[in-house]
Amino acid sequence: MKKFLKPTIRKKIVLLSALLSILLIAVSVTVSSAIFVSRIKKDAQTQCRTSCEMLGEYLSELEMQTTVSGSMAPFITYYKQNLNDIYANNREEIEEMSLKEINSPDDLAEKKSFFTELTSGLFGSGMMGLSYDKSSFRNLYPEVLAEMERLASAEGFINCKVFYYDAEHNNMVFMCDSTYTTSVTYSYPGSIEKTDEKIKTDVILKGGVADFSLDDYFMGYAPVVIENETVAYVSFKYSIDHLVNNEKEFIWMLVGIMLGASVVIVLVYLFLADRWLMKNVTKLSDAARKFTSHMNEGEIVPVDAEIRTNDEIKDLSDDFFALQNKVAAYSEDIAKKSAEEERILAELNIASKIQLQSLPDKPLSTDSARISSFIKPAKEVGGDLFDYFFTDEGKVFFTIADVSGKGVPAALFMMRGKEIIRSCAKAGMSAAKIAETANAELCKNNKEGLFITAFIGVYDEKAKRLTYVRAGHEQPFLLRDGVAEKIGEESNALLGVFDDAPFISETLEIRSGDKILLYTDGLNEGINEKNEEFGYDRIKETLENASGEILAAAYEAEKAFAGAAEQFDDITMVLFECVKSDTIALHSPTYDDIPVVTDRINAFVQGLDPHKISELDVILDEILNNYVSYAFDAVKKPQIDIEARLDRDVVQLSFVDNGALFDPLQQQTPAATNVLDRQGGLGITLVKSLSDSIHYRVFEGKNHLTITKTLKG
Amino acid sequence: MQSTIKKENGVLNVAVSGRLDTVTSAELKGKLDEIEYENVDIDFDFTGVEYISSAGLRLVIALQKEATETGNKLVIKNINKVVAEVFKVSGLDKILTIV
Repeated sequence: MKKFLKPTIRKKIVLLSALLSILLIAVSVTVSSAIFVSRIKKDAQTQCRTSCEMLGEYLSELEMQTTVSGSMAPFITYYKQNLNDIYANNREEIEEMSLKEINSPDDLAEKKSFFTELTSGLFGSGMMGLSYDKSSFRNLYPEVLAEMERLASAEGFINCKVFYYDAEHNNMVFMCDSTYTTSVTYSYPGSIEKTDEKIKTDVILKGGVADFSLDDYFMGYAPVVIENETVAYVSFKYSIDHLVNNEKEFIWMLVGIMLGASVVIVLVYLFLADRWLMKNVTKLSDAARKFTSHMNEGEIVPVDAEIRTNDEIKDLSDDFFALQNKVAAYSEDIAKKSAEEERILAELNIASKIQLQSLPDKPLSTDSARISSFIKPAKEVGGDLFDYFFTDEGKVFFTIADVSGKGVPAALFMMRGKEIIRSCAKAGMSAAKIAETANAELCKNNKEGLFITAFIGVYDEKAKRLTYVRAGHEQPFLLRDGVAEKIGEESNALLGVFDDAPFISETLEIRSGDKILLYTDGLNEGINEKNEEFGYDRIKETLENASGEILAAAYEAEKAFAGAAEQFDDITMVLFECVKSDTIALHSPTYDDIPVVTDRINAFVQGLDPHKISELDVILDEILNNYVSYAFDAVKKPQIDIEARLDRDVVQLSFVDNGALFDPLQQQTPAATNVLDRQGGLGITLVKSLSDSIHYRVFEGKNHLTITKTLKG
Repeated sequence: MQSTIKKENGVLNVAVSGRLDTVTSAELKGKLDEIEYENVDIDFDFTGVEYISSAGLRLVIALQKEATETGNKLVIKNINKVVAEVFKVSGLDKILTIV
């Protein structure tokens, strides 16, 4: 339907042609019928006039003869005189009867009877007693009536009447009428009609032949002149309708022919329009469609519409062909360029991976501290870096830094920065010295004006003291006793800008359980769909309420906040924790690993309450038993990473595994009504009861289970 | 885990010490299966048992069920704080005869 209604050029041409032909038909029919009618009218007029003249002349001539063959006396002289006598004597009655309206057969009969009676004496004694009709008159003046009938018998004539004029009363007094006596319009001899003003002026007073065009008939009038005296008048009535009706068929035929001719003209017009215009337009449109359908299949082949006329369509087609060729050339160019681009992207991707591989991928555990990290790179290669290791002096070094800008320049500068900082730190420099040296090095040959923001920390385990330099980097958060606060309010200069900038370090006495979160602006400036930033307050809140692993909790909080918004910058975090820690990695664990892990954890928490440690052992046994029994059915390389952290007498055990995703906390523990029938659920019940807290999350596609327990009697 | 199993006067004396966990419970079950102890009372001595996990509980539950069916007695003696806690948490303290 939609296609049918589509306003194509062809349809527009048809519509225009149809409108044009309708207009043509209407105009020609109107004009020709007007001409036709006026011609008919003119013919009728001429005929009417001629008939009037002929009858007038005939009656004049007839009157000149002394006697009329077969008649009793001259028509006008005798007949008119006698009729006038009757009229003069009975004028008032005649007027009344003549002007009376005929509404019924009775009225007609009365009228007929009246005039028959009135004129019975006129048509001779032999006629007395006979009812009056035309034949009575015919008997008297057969030639007169014959001539009237002859003239009135022509097509279109209604009647022919002879009358004289009574000037005194302005009456036309009828002498005879060629129509049937039964007609309502029949004028009886002696009956009258009031004279129309126009007839009086033009015919009676001027004495000439005249005709009048009335609504649907003509009236023709002529005087009968005898010896220069008008004695009577003749009238002819001529129907236009009648004539026109007779010619209707002809008119319809004419309309038909015109209609037919118009249809033929339109068809010829369409054919020619199609042949000359549309054919080429269609060709061009087909060529365009072919070109685009090829294009959709990934092939760009110019299609020539092959138009041979020399009109605008040909020009358009030529231009279009040229355009197609340009598109083809352009696409080829783009294809080359995008292949090149793809290669560059692939290389960048590798570069990005190499860059990530150069960063530590495992947490660092020292006697009293643990440093772990998290990085979630954005799509584009970025310039975030972090590092941590033992210095040659036995101190713990850690840093986080962010290079200005993104892409390859940032990545390269980041590598350079990382190596410089690393070599300075390795050599056992103080935090301030590291910053100073790295700054001076980075200022060299830095024509692009890149710079690095960094936080550099050196932790002295023996003194439990952290010395740090903040060089324009985001302020880290210190989480102590459940409250998170920013540290490092005073900032030093950015690295790589002023080669002689001084760097001043600050110190922080570290307490057991302290946690310091370092991060890049990818975290606090991460935006959500409303373009709002994650911000420092949310970081603080997340730290204070974090359950389980802090890095996972922080990243999850940012991700939940960002929703569907794209991550524009690397999110990088380093967590320094003043806790004793141990890490155990189990590959394809079996039941035999359970006592090994148990012994190692027992050693880790040695010295704390033995009963509580036994309870911890139950927890370990249940969790590891569950892993070995159920978790890795469909896993190729099962692995469990176990981390133990000890903050004074609180131990935190983290289990990260690559088994099927399963939340043990959601396992239904059966009601304890019949303990002996219980099969499953015992283990988790024990774990829940014996631990202080237990937390489960899926993070980066892995199960993360974290359990804390106080080991104090 | 160490265990000694003796049958005396229609009573099966089972002395256990150390950890009663996934691995050791299976060991103990294996040992018990080797001995014909049908229609006997069982006397469990838990002296020296550090802890018991759900695997150990399941073994105890199975033995208790058998004893109940045959009309025999199962007694557990000398449990420490941790074992008592586990029995309590699992609801077994109400069913077992612990002295």
